[in-house]
Amino acid sequence: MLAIGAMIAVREIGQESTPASAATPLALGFALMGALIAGDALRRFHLPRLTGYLLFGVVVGPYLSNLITSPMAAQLQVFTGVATTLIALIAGLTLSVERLGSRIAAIVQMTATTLAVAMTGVAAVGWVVWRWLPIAPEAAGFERLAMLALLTVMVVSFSPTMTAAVVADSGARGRLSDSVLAIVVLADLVILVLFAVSMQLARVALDSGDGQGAEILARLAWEIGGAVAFGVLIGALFALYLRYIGREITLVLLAVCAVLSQVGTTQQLQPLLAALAAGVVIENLAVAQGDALRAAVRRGAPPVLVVFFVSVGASLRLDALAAIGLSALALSTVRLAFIRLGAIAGVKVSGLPEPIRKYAWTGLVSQAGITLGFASVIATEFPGWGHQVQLLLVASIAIHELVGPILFRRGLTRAGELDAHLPRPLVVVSNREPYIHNLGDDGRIAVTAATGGVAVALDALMRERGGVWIAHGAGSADRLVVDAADKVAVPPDHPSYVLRRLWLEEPAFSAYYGGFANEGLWPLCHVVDVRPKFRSEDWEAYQDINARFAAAIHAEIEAPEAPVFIQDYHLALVAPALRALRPDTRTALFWHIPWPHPDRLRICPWRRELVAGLLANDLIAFQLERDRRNFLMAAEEELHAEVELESSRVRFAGRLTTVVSVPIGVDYDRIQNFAADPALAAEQQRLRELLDLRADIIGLGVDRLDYTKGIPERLDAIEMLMARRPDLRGRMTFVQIGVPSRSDLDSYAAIEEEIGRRIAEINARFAVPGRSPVVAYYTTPLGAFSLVALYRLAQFCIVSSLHDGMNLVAKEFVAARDDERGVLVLSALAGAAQELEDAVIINPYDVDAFAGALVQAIEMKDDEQVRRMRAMRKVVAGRDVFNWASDILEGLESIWTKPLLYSVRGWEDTSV
Amino acid sequence: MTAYPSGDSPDLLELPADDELEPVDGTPQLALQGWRRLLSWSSGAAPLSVLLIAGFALGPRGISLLPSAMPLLDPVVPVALAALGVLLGLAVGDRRTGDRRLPAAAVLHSAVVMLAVAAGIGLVAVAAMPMESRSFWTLTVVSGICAATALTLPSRHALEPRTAATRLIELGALLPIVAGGLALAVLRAGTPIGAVALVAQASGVALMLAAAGWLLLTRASSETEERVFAVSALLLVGGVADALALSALFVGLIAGVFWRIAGRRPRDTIRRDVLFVQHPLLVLVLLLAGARAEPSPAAIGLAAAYVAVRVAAHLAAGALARRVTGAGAPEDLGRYFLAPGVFGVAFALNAVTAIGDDASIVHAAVVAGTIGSELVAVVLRPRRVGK
Repeated sequence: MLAIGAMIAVREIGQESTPASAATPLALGFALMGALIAGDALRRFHLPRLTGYLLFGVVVGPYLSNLITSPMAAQLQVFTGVATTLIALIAGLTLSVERLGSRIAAIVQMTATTLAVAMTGVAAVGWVVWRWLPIAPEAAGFERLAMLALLTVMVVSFSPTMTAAVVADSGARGRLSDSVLAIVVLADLVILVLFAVSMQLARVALDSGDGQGAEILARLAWEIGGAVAFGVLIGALFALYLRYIGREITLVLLAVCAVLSQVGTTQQLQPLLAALAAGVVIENLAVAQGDALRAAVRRGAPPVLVVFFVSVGASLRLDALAAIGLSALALSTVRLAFIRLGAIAGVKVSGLPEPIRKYAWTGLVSQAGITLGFASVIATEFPGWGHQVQLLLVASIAIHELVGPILFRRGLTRAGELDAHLPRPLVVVSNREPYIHNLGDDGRIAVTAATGGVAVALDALMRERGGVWIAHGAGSADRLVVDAADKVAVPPDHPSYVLRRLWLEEPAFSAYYGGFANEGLWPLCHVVDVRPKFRSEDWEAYQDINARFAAAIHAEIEAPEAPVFIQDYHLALVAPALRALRPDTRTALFWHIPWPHPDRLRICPWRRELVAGLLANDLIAFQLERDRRNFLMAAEEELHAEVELESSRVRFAGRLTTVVSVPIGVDYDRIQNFAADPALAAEQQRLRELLDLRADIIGLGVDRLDYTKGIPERLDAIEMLMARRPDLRGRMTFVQIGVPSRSDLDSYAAIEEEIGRRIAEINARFAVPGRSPVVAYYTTPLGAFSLVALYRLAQFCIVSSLHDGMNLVAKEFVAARDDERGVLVLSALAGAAQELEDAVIINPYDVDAFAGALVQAIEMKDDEQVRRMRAMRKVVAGRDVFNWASDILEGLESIWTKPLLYSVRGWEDTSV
Repeated sequence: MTAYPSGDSPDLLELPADDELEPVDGTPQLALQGWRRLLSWSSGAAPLSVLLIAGFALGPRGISLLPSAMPLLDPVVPVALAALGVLLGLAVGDRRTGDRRLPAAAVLHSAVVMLAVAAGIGLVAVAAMPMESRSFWTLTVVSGICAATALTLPSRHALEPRTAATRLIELGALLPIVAGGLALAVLRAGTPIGAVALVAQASGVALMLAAAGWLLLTRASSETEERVFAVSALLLVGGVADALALSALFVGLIAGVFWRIAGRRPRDTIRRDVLFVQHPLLVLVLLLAGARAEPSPAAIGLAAAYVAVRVAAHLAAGALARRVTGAGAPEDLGRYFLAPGVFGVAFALNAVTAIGDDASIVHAAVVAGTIGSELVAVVLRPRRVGK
């Protein structure tokens, strides 16, 4: 409505004569915006988007509401040539000879027979009923034959991308979907040739072309052979461009389509055939480049195609369309009958097996872009009867694109190739378990749920989908509660999935976990002054334990399509070990910590094995774009893997891995619930007493005691603040919750000792007798509810990581502050700073500025606090931990629901 | 080494934040090898002069290749200009460390240059080329506005490290664009009151479209939908500016500021999609600016004066701005502004598109002056860069 209002306003206040150049962007913008809304609205009723685009064109076009005026509609027609060649090129990109393999001969036979039967049947019926068809009833003899030939070719044509879209959309995988796709593309290739022949025939019959006999044949040969040669040449050149330049692919693609369209039209070459040939060449001669091109198509095609469909809709004459509706219905019925007959005959000739025999015809019903392209060509070349044909075809396309996808989907379901809409059971693999059983002092077994945001989110996901969670059993009573297969049903109150425990004994566990993972990989991936330690015995243990995790997964997976979601740097080598046992497994790994720059990665003696191991996953997800880029660089530099930057995929050892960045979030709703709990005030009072919090100003830091968290730097800043601002002494207390971890490692023991000492020094120097301490230090882990209570007590919260993948404390603090008060002081070196721009950003190494930032936080006025906190809360609420988990899992499943060729998400949106 | 994927910004945490002058668009100059290096040439790495001269050579005064494509390319110009405005609008309000005094310094710098160049060109015009009142004011105001900015593209990311000088260049583009929007409105409406009303109406329309885009973007269910909505909003904003014969840069700026304020998602989506087409749009703007130039002895004379006054004004304004910013800015701040950037020539193209013949002489002068300014900037490089 706003856009319509704006369009009307422009008309009112615009110049008397709006410049011609202004009409185009206005028409394009309005068409795109409105059509997409219309398409989306129809999609909600399970109708194709394309119908929405066409309808929108009809409604706003010059024949109905005239919001898109005739000059505007004429400007939109400029895109028709580009759009139709783009459609043909997309169709060509779906034909992979490699994938068809040994079935290619049978598929060719099937295609030829189906086409022959369908075309013969449609032509025969057309000849008989010609006088009742609303095209040119008076035409007779050779004229009628030529018109009928064109009509038959167009009526029988198919829609490769619509067929591909149904396959992609439904997640079907199998022989039927593969074969039908190939048949449709091959058939359209033949139809394009036949269309060129029929056009020549029509030109001769209707005297719109010159020359006779050999000259016509030569022209035909030029039109077809020249088009194929031109398409092959353009395809090869484009593949070279992709390989050696590879920049601005989408724009170059659209330019190529414009060239194919313009050169084809001006040089009497069939532009659609040339485009299809170009697509086939790219797909089959440059496989890697073909993938990059598909990613570019995904980006560039939708706007062009939407405009094309709107333009077609806007150019339709409604009065004529209404009159032609019945004929279109009859034509569709005849087409459907003969296609079914043709498919039956084709299967008999080719000997293709079940389920192709029964259901192949269902995939041959859809019609869309290519047929519309034909209709546009005819309407342009033969304005009289050509327009009638266009109307007839548009009406029948509307029927076919409604019925086709429904029929094909039904066929795929019956063929057993469609089960992706049911969420599959999930396999989650992590080092730490979601529920831990411990023996209490009284000898009773107590179960504790993990409280971390990620564990909670994954637990919720597992409750919903069911499946198996495989983790190291670390609890003192873990062995007592499992069955003979080391499994226990969880959650204890409402069992909905299985926890499979893995027993990792010493000294292997310490070498794997404390050694390679936490003394090697952790410092390697964090840019801090701690030297990574790489020992070959740790590496061996790491490989061995990762292999044991893989074996456990292998034992638990029932169906090969069950997605496996692996967590973090402890398990980098699970995927290759699993793939050795089960090559068809689908795995995604989330790397929670930063991925180092290749220069730093070179420190690791086994970096190649690590990178190669990670590339055995189907999908790798990192927190930040920086990590994703660093990993892609590592893959190229260390393994010379083929990296497709546009689609962010890596081809290595015959496999394709998608690499994405998906920043993790917090369980926002849960924190909101805690924040709104009436018991919160009592908990805050309890914490005040526990921590002796009597000061007016309370600051907070919540961390694991880790050298990456910048706690000494934070204490330095507080010390400087107290030195500079004596008035704060006794008035401010900084609460440091510091939970010890990995204390058996020297680096961690040292940092724990340093933090304790520094806090004692600060308190000794600045504490005011009888008042709260300057720093209240608490090393016992707090539950989630207590943490929220503490977040709500604090005037400011400090996250001063020296390097951090994300840091969820920052997001938790923001989520807890539904009062929109409080200031987050956030290190620029934490991943969260990339999202929480409204925090007070600090550099923990610059202690002077850090202290200044603390002053800013303490003195910040209420309205500024509200403004900043409101902006940050929008970010945190908009991307919670459930979004994170589902993004990764949907990403993983989309790779597989789009069989091989359709692994780029969003491909279905280009369906035509 | 792997190049960054297109549309991605380099991560700031891994770049040295030294004081060297980066390319103004912030694109990292990655070492590509051999053919890749040669063929990956883009506007980010190409001098503006080359594209302006190429545009002139392809235009009606050259080998006349572009005129046949003009009917197709003309509608793209306001969209490209609106896209530049949107990019700038999206960056409005990005706060960085040490930014406190920079906006004031940037405004001061731009205002001084605008006034100085307008006055200088006005004097030259009065002395050497008598002309009617409307043409005179068009010449002086447009040349002042074009000279004041030195920006090619604002930074891609709010956290991208920028030196004080590059930050001043970014902030300094705002005043000329706003002034340009008002100036074109005055020239179109004839009276200041009419101009204010026209600007208010156009801003209202732009905000309506931006709001429509925002509503749709926040409800888009896929990246494809986001992209189509972003493109359509951009087309509408550019089209509206063209239809109202107003500054597309200004109308784009209004929309960009709205999206900046509206929230992170529309901001990021629009930024991503505009950045995706930024190089082709810049190349197109520069080629068309070159092709549209109609050089004449008067224009060349004005261009010489434009370069001289612009250089002097920037050096003087730089010294003034440094007093405001303090020690954070380099001593030779004015030199950082000598490279002309794209926004100036884009505004000249905007003026000639919106006003027509009255702006053709100033357009030609600005195009030639941009080439001259770039040559001067090569000679008078900032000292640290020179080292």
